[in-house]
Amino acid sequence: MSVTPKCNADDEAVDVDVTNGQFVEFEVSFKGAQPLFAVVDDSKRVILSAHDQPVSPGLYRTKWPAKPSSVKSGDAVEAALGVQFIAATQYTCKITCKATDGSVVRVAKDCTYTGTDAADTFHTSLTLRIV
Amino acid sequence: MQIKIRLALLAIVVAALSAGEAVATDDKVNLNDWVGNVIKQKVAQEKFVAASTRSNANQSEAPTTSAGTTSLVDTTKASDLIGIALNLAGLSAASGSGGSGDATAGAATASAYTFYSAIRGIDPLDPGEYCKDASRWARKFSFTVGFDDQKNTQPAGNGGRKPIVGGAKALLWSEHDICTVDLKDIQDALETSTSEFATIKAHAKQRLFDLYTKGSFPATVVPAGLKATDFDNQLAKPEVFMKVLELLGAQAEPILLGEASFDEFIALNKLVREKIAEFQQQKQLAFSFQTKQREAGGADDYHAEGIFSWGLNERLDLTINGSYDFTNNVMMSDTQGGRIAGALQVQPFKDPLVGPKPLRFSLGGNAKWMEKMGPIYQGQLKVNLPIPRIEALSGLEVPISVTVSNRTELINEAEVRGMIGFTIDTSQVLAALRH
Repeated sequence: MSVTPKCNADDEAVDVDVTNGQFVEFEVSFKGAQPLFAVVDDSKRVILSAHDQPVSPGLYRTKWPAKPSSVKSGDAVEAALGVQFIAATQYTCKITCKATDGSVVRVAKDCTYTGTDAADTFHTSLTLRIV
Repeated sequence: MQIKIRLALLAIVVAALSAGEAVATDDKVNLNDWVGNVIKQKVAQEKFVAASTRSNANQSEAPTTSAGTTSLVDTTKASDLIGIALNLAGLSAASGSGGSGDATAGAATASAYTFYSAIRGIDPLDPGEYCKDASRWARKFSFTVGFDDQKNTQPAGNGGRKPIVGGAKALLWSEHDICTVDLKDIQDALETSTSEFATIKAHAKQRLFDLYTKGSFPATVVPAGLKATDFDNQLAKPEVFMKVLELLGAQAEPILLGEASFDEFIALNKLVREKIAEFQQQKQLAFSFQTKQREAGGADDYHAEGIFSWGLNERLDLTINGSYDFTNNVMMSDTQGGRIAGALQVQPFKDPLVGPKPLRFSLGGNAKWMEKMGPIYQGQLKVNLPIPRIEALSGLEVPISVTVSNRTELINEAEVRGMIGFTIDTSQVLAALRH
């Protein structure tokens, strides 16, 4: 592989108890000149992307679901992350399930992806299961 | 004989440094990696030269003012931080004279960005700083300080300390800037392909779970009675997923991927390739001023130079220098003249974004005319050897050159000179250490 992932956590799926206020926090940061990344679900909805406003230089963050009423128990949403390395050398992605008060329920993904070629593109995904 | 022995040693060094880059890999993958690998195969991705902050156009060797440099031409850019060049040994044989001594030279080149980031106490590789206007401007300017070998330079020095080489360079014009280039089309294609990846992966998981619930996988492979989330997390384990793949055998791909389309990935790859090619083939123009100062009684050289570089294609670069040269002589009248030089640099293999710079070969020529001296014509073959395998040494490389001259500045006799050097690009070393 041209892209080297180094992960502290790398689940394939995470349960989210939305009815009790749980949510998923997506956080992407990068090293380099310009970021090219997207977190998109299998219904083509963009959850977070380089088009969004960073919360601080090089750091992007969002909560999912934006509207808890948009999902229901039993739903499974495949959320994929795509990163491209033409103008950045490294991306870090952290996906955390949090409780209403912001405390961490589970860190589902905490990975750093290092590119070895400008043409490299890397994809990974996580299933968000609503319980 | 001595030269032959040295060249033989160099050949051994070259062979050792150029040894294959095959690295043992773990073939075990999880579902995510497997889908990614299938996509990569479908796209049949080729490797292209990095268009990022690391550039092979950066000057890593001592400037041409230095007689002991391994390079005949100066390039348009310097390292983002500090570049250090040392010429470790010179192999010289002046025809008819029985040869001359070794040459050594060294130079450190620092971008103004180095000082700017140090003064402000910022991380020079921080994306929040890297593309600020002040940072971009600071990277256009660089300064060089070094020393040259006394034996290969103008006479009249008193033979004391080595001549000091100094200079400054400004990147006047560049077609593209990685900080400002519009990448919206790639971002859009990335979003589309990422959604497609999510769809492909969701279908693959669902099909695997369907097989699981039908009892297709023995409990020795995947524990029985798992709910969907736990089953999915089993697929993240390479040892489990590899057993599942083994059970599916040759049908794995059609079962898991079905009629998946890979067009979005191919389209993204095409856009990225086109953008990289734009960067590869961009033109740059720089101005450089260099001087070589000798001790009292010695002649001082001044060198004002225009530098043009152009990527003719993805692996072939052309660099042209034109300069006005002035020598301030103490013992005799001043002399002036000019110089034209050019080099074609070929990169035979892929260029990784991080890690060592790629192996590069160059063919160069130099013509210099000075008052009261016959013209000097030089031809050069050079190889820049990366140091493979050790990531922390990725900013280091070994330039080796052989230069043929019709005469030298000192003697009207043909000369063949071999040079070996050592260069460090600290921005790369720092990046490698951070990885």
